[in-house]
Amino acid sequence: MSNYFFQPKYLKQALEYKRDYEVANLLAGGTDLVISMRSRADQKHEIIDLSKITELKTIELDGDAICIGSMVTFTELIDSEMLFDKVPFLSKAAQSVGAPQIRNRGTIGGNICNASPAADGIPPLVCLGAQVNLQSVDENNEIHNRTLPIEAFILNKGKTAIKNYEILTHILFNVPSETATMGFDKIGRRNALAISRLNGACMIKMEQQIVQQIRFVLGAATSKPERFSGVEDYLIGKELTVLILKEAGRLASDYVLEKTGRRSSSNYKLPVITSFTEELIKKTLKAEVKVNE
Amino acid sequence: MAKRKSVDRQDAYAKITGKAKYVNDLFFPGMLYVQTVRIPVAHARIKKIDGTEALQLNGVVGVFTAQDVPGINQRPKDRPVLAAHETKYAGDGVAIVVAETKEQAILGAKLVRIDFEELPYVMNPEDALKEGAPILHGETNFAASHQAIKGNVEAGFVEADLIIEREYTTQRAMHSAIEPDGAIAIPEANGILLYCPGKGPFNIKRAVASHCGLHENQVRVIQPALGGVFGGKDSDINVIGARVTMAAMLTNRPCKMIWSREEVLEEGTKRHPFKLHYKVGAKRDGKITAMEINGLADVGAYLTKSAATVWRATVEATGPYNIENIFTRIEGAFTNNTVSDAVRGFGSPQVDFASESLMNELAKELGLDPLKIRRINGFTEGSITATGQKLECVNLMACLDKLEETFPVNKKPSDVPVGKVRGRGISCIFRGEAMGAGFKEKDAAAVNFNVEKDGTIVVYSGITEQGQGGSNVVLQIISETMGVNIENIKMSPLDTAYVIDSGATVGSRGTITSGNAALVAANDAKMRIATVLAEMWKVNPEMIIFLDNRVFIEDQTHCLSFKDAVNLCYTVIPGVYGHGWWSLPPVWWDFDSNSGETYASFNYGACGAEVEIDLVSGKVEVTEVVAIHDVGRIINEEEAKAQIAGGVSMALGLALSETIATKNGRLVTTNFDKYLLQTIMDSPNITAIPLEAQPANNPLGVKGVSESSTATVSPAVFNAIENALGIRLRNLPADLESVLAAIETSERLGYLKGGGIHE
Ligand SMILES: Cc1cc2nc3c(=O)[nH]c(=O)nc-3n(C[C@H](O)[C@H](O)[C@H](O)COP(=O)(O)OP(=O)(O)OC[C@H]3O[C@@H](n4cnc5c(N)ncnc54)[C@H](O)[C@@H]3O)c2cc1C
Repeated sequence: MSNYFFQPKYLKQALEYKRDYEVANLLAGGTDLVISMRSRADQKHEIIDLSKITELKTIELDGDAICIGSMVTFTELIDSEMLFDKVPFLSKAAQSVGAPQIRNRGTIGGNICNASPAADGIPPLVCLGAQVNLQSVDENNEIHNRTLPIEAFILNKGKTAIKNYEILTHILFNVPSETATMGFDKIGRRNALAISRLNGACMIKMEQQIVQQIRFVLGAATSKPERFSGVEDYLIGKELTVLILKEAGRLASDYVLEKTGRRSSSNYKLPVITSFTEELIKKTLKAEVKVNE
Repeated sequence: MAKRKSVDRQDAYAKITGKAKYVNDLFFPGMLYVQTVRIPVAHARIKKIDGTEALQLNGVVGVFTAQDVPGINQRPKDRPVLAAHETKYAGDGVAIVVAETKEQAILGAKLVRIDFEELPYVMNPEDALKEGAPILHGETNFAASHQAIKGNVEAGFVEADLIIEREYTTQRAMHSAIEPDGAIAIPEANGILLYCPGKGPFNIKRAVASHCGLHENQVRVIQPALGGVFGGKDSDINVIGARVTMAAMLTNRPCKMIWSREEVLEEGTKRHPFKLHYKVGAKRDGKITAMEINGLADVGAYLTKSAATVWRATVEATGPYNIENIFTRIEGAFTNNTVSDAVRGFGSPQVDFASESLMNELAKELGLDPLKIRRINGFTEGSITATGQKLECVNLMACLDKLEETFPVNKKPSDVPVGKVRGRGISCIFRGEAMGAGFKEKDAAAVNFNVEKDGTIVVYSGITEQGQGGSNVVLQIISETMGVNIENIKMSPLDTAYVIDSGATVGSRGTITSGNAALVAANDAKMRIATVLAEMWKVNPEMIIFLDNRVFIEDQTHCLSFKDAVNLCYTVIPGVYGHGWWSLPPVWWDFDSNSGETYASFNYGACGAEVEIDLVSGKVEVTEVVAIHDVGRIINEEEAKAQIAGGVSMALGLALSETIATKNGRLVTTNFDKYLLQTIMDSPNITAIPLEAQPANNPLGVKGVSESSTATVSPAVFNAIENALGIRLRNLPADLESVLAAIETSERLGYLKGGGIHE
């Protein structure tokens, strides 16, 4: 059992605890942490519960920038009309997580820091080129902020660039262009409470049938959700014909094979990545383009 | 008879409001907690168990091993309370740690030092029967076998125009009751009081008494509310009951043990995986001439009721078909897997999956409609089964008629989304009622009740309420027969101290046995009351009517409220009560000739399923299930539908997602994160149809309803998948990987032209 359980009301206090107890576990919704604590032999670490810190629970639109607090739950993401309006694929990804109980507790910050390759919240954020803000406080009580692109923040399966004394406070990204369309999809073994066998997010800007801009991310394919620049580069400037999409799918699957090597799951995964890629791009194209009134 | 109305369940209120007390809700002063210690390998020789370090831990009261088991630790081939010399699977308990708190017990268990030698193991029943395989019990891993032989298969195959051979496999699956198994033992002046959920309280009492060296009358079992059974809470509860009882005897304090979910997976029993090889011959017109079936079941580490499971599977393996020439042989083999035991369906879902897949394969080869081939061969009144039994009250065709009406199998699925394909499939079954001749004892139950002076009827029944609505059936029959409102009839808690042993609540026998016993008891009480009133009213007892809480004669010249009538009786006779025993008609089985009257009756069922398959992922969505089950007579329509729908959803897990996997002798599926039950989000539209065709050969005309619906679904789903893709899957479950492989084959063979993936 843990030695201490801290439940600060303010971020500053939490940062101080984290400074003083570097090995302490940060508790957000606990939907990953509690499970790993149960199976871990060493359960002696302190716990800093972030659930009472209202500063971390805001969703804000400021001009062109959207800022989401790390303690925002999936349910709150889903309930935000602003997010549904500006970044519907993030809402869809949040909706696909677990079950109501998990969505009520699980946070976007926890999803990112847990750094599972199959995390459903991450691919849309990678597509959006989101940044994560990391805060800490030093011995002189001075606050420090560090901002990293989410792609750089997540290093590998279960590994992030966070320092022991830091807390992820919020996620920042710009509202995508009004003509961009967005898509998210996921394959699970059942329709709820399913860890993604494969997931992906895609954002496309077309101009006269030609791809102007595309960001394409797959999760649960390699060791972390990442942009498939080979696919993106191939598609830019092209018209999306059946043959072109097929080739894009093949490129995605070749990339995964190159990255992971052949595995027992490859027989399933590689062909699915091919067709999933094609389908996701097609679905993204069909997604309604939001027009501001 | 007029259609009965559905009645709300008396146990529902407590369960919905959280007032029901399950075993884990019970606490007693001075209670200790018991934790099992295991060896995490599939097969091991125990050299030494050292509890010294554990005993030094604060709160640990005792560490006990097989040497401390007070009675018979183990009967040959069966589960020990604690393994003495050798563990035969990773779930085997070797010691228990008893401590003041649960946490201390768990910590203590980690400190028990075990010196063991890993032994070679075998996880596959085919390998287990090979020369040189590690042997689990005695000389061989052969555990049990049964045969059913009719006519001459060789001759039958000669007659055939077409012969096909197919092999099917079913997976290891589990009950997944939300309440994990557990028990509390309390030492009392004259023995042990045991609180535990279970479907056979008297079986538990006998097992625990034997394991713990007590007389049966020294063990009293009280059953708290049950959080789901599904065929489980059987041999596991015997073991748990014995462990807490020995702990209570050795510490002289109340002792509690509740398994964690991981322990349920690790040590708990599972459904038998079967491998079934079918050879079938038929005429061009679809008439089957011969069927040969060879099966092998994975019994796991200990025997439990595997012989009976294999027997039922053998009796039912051909499916509900008239076949002149049959050879069926199913065998069970020991392996170092978790123990296989009863799970809802008890061997039927396995053989029905195979035989009903086979019927579609045969129909396809013959170019026949899948419904037609079933009509051509299906059982009708007087048909003779594989074991030579002549069938009565056969309702198969009624089920198929209803299926044709409610689920036209050839209807083209409409509005198929792009990138998906749909298919429809059907199945039908017959299933033996109740215990059958596989068990020696008479299949009987008793219901007793006392009518108290306020007019309340207090009932005692040995059939357990495990969520199926079994208690309410008894109350309903008494209510109808006595003309007393069901609110005035109360079911007493199940306590072996005063309830009569009515066998276990298994084999879908609850309503047949206790429902008919309730009828006998109610008629007994009615006659007792009527005799008194008839004397006073100077009428014939038969003229007295019991209705709407009143007792009267037709012209109303004499009429009393039920309560007043009862009180009047108490002035004349010593007691007002009903006592009823009822048993199923006799059955028998001759092991030498492999024939007999296997079950007193059979129920029939038919199922239709529609699937939608995602061509990208291979994900199968079951969109619709129609499940029709011959229940003889319906007692409570809503309950009957709920039983059927529940069976369907359990079976969908078997069809699509549930499986217990092992790797290198260790369980991979250690919790519900990997053991994938179907959720409400996966649930199709289920149309549950309890069918009233011919009544069964018992006074209420009822048949069992709780298991058959687990048996029809997986073949219907697999037939639907075949219908959609043109490719046959033969191994349960239809997971993403196997369906995707089928899609690829289908595309390669050109069945899925353009695949629909690329518009
Ligand atoms: C039944 C079930 C189903 C699930 N289904 C899905 C699913 O479908 N898709 C999916 O993506 N995930 C799923 N998950 C995983 C989990 O719910 C998510 O990853 C969730 O986002 C974790 O958030 P949390 O708030 O619960 O994190 P916690 O468990 O509280 O924390 C997770 C990790 O992040 C760290 N952490 C949390 N917040 C911060 C912070 N602000 N700064 C620094 N470190 C921090 C914690 O210390 C811990 O190491 C499921 C989990 C369960 C139990």
